[in-house]
Amino acid sequence: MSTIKVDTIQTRSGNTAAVTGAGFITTDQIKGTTTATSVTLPTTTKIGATAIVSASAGSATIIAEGGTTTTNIQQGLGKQWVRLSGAGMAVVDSFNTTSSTDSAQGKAAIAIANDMANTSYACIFGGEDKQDGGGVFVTNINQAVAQATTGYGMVTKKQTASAMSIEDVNQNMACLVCGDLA
Amino acid sequence: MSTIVTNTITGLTTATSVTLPTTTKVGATAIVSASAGSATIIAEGGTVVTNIQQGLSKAWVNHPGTATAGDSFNMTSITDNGTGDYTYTIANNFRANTVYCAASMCRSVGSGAFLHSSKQGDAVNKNAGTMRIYTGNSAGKQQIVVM
Repeated sequence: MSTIKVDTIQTRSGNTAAVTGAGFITTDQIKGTTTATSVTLPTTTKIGATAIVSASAGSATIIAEGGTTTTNIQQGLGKQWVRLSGAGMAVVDSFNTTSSTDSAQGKAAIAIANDMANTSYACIFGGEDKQDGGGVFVTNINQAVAQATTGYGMVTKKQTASAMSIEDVNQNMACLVCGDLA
Repeated sequence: MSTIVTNTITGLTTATSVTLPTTTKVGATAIVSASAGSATIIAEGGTVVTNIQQGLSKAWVNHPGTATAGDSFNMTSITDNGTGDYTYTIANNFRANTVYCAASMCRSVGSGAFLHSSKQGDAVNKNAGTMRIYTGNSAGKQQIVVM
């Protein structure tokens, strides 16, 4: 192995990168050679005190709040969410969502843009109470619609002292999905 | 301004490990490490930053209503305490005993009941390593999602 001992590296045009010893190189930018916008860093790359460790493609961990335990970045990210509004179940804001279809009163079918890897992903919902005297008001997955990698069904139900019914929300309902992307 | 042009950077002491400055930009996106366990990234609007660790879900499970989980993250086991009553054991514990945020919901799996809901157990049943969830309809089997 050959060793070049030097304090600074300078291009012919005068730009300098300093070699400061103890394994440090001082520079402002790093660019890829083959593709200027692409460079590969080691599997353990620390940004300051925060280590990001790439276990494999699609699986990276980051040190959690306590400073020692790591948590998986991909597994912790919401893979799809949507906020719907009104009886028409119109999409107000969303992520990784293709569309919302107003299936029936109180029901919506959500189409996911980039599909999930399996049908066992976790969905969690919330909806605004109609404040019309209903005693219990819940939004959850529509049992009549099979949970698919491409989407799922939502339904909002209300119970009063004398009746149970499927109801449109007064204004908004929302859903968050966690799981594995395909 | 100086630029290093290369395809791969390799660590000197350990080939698979290298340290970058506390503020490192990946293209136009700055990742800033305030300390170990606290890093921020520029949010969608392009100016405000959001904390990466604080924004991640730390555990979730899709529980089909048996003692076996469907898909999950950072969960080791489910204990069936009785009808509509489950304890979920977390692999890597939360730091604080009871102050984390947990949400849960459930749906019917052929029980014939109309309304299905779930709630967390009280503080006694929620600690750093476990959380207890009660379902709203004890009559039928239910599928539970916990985050």
